Amino acid sequence: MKKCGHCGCENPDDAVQCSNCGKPTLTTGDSPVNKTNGKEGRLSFQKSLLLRLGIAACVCLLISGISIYVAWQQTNRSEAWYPHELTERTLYWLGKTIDSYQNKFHAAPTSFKQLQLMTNEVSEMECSVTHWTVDGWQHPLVFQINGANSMVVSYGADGKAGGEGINYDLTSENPYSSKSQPTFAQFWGNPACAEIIRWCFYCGGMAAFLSILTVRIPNLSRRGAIILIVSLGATLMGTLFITTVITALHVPSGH
Amino acid sequence: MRFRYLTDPLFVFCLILYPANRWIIKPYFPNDFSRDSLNDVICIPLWIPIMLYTMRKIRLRKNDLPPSGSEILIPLIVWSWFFEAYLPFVPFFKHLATSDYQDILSYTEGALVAAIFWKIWYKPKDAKS
Repeated sequence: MKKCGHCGCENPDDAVQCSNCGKPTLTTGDSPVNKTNGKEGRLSFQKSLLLRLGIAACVCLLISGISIYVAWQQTNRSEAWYPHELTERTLYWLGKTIDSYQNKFHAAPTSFKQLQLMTNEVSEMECSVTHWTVDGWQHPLVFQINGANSMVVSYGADGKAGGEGINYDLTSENPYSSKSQPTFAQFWGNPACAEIIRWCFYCGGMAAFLSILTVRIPNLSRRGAIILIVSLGATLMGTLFITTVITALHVPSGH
Repeated sequence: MRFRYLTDPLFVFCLILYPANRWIIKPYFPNDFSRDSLNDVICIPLWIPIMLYTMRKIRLRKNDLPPSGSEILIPLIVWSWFFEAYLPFVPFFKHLATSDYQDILSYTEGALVAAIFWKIWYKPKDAKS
């Protein structure tokens, strides 16, 4: 192992310049400056190993965290939430049917039976609504009459009034409410999402392996730490510049 | 061994693979991998040499060593967050960028393959034998 005389970073035996500061001031571990006894060497190795494992754990958490967040957003409208999607669709067409009924008879419908008469007017009802009186979770839909208006309500996955996420109450007046998007806890607890979450952790694990494979621990003296921070800042600046270039290329290419 | 930046064999391979995928593989040999994942897999090995070359030219990089851990991991983390968790939710880019957790998996796979390749390729000749 060669040590940099400038920043103190450890480099492989074959290195000709320091991987941390770029200076060619490398000395071998046998030099008097770096000579350590066996105990100190072991301690330094343990410290370095712990740091590398710590960095790998942070990388794993970051990549898994980003993946899980993206998967949560992505699966909001997917097969994993089929009953929710079915309820939204049913309420949407029931709302359309209520409007058609009111336009035709100039009065609000008072029951599902009256709405069923409207399938000739709203033909999509026949193929889009499989069950007229239950939502996607097989809970009964509630017909509410409010003066001259009427609407159909689903009490969500729990079948009780109120709640958040998929337990949020959906109505035929607002079937696609953003408040009914699954919460993180609901995403995490949904067995249909378990496979996706496993893949996110697999991705994090792969990033951790990448970190163990490539990250070297520099000397963490005051001078070495400053050089490390400057070098990380430079890499971040370079990354942000390329991020801007790739983003700009999205516009003409269409993706 | 000195990093070859824009003449790095993996970079050149990815540079050829991108148009080949876009104009030959996708239309004539359609398959799920080339349609959904290939561009994301080659993202890191294609853009990191460009990034490091730019940094070297403007003296933000002081050495010509192959990409270090931070030079691979920082772009991986930033691009995963920016292109999958942020950009698809910005109104102007909503129709241009798609949020997909499998894209992050592809970036990571590409980064891992690239890191292993660079580690082997840029090993000094006497260390190889």
